[in-house]
Amino acid sequence: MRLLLPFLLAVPLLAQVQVFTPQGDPLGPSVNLGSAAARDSTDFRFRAVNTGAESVALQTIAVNGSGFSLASPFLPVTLGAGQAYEFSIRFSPTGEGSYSAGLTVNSFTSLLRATAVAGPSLFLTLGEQTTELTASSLQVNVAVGQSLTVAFSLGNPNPAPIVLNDISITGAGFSVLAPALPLTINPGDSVPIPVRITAGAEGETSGLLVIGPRRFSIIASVFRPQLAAPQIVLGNVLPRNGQQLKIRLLLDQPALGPGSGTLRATFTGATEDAAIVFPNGTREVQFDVAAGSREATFDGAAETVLQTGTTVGTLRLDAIAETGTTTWTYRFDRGAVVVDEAVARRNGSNLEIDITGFDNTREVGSLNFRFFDRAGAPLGGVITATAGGQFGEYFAQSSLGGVFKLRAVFPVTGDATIVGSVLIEIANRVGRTDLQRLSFP
Amino acid sequence: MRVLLLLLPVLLSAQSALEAPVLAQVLDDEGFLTPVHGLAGNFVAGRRAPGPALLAYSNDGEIEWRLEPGRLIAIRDGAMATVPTTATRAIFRGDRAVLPESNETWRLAGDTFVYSSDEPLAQLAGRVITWRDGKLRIFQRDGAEEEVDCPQEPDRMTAAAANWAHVSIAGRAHLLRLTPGKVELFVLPRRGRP
Repeated sequence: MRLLLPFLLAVPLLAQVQVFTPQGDPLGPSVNLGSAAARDSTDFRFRAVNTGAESVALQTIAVNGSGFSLASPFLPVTLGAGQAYEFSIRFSPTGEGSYSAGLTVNSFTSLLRATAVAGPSLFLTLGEQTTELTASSLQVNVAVGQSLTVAFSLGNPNPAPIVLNDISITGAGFSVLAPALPLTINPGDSVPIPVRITAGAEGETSGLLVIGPRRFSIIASVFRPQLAAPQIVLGNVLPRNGQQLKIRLLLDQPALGPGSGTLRATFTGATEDAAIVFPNGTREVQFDVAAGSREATFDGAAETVLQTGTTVGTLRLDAIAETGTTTWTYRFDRGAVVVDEAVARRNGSNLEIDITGFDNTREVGSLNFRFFDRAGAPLGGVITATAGGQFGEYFAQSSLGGVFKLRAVFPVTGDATIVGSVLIEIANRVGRTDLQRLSFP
Repeated sequence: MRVLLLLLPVLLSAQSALEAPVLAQVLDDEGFLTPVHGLAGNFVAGRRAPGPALLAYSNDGEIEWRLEPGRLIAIRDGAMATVPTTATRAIFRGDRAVLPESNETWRLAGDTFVYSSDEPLAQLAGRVITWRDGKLRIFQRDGAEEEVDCPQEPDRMTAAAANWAHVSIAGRAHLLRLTPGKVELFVLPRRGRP
């Protein structure tokens, strides 16, 4: 009774394990795994399933035969009721012909049969270099949103032509531009079969390329590219106050994927200047870069502008991207008064002069006026106005930097019509600005 | 006759002698009249003027036109003329307002409106601005022609001051300086966040 016990226990345990083929069929005394390309390695996955109600020990999995091998299984393992154990048998024929091997799972044995046939070679071209792929898989990196074409081609290393009836690929986002089938490849021929990978979401995706008897896995790692910090390119050679500075942002390399960043302006001066803004009215503007492009866009436009203001100070631009920041800095030095527009007119017996301009020092000191008659002869001497006080009061209340509009009114006693023109000088601590001669209409 | 210029105690002492220049008046994105301060290339949008949103606006320095819901207004030399209308669009040219929906034309004569749909359109006088081949061409009052690069055809142009036009290009606001010899196209920044 003691001696019989192990035997009685073993029988039902062995009977509980059933092996299934890669196609999902129960494995019989023999199975034909089909054909594969000579010198290729093809994995066939089997499943050992405990179909009984009790646990069972899986102690042995072995394969014995030329061209077949088994990855070392982690045995023994105990399979609970309904549990399965998967294992792979690799078929690596060294030449064309028929192959067979015995598969043993515990005490169950089956004959594996497979055929090795002539297959094409697979080549990958990168730039000027073409390499034969001897592995069974290839990993590529693709940016989100990018479409990548992998330049595969087929060759025939055999002395006889090869006829292919199937060139296809499976996997989401994978496609192959296959030639018309059936395809005959003569020895020495090369046939391109570009594979296009369109990356969707971030992560990993794979495609199985089937070329007649050959199987080739393409694993695509889809990553979200990070935008590099772009160069700041100015459209104006020499920035100055009182202008709209044209700005472009340029990447050193085309962006792998779409990205965005921020262009920020920072002004440090003795006083604030409300005019220093981008078109959106603020000191920050978003930029975008399309996949494959080197140029950033601003709300769809290739460039943006920044008003430089009319105040002495330091203007700093930061182009902020995910991977870093590039910075441009410029100091607007103290300068003489800049006059944008000056108009002279008559108003009754008064002569009026309007001057619009800016003084980035906000320290206008004096104005000189010299009037001339219609023939160009001077009328009296130079009239000087010391205006520092008024300008000081005005600038103290102004948020427009150094911008001002001055209206000078000259009441005239006598015949004002003989006054033909005026020359004006405006001075601050930096220097004197001479206006063009203004004529009274 | 000897000319005597009375000088500086008067000059600059008046409150109005120095001011923050108002370059132009434009309608903002919501149709409210907004002054533009600063100078060419350094604009600062001011506070909205009180009043309703306008349907159309033009100011060429001589006549200020306003199309409000229910009425058309013209202001010249401080005198205002109004006429009731249901128009929602208007095109202003000098002293004329064309209401395309009703095919009406109103002319400002003095400070009075004259219904002039039957009158022949006056010969174009004053500045003319055209766009062709990526350029804005400005024909000045003296016949001089100037041009400025503008790759895209503007979708709207209105007078904003004597020497300024408010130009919308692809929905983006610009100011076109029309001063003879200084024609230039600038971006008009929006009013900043408060």
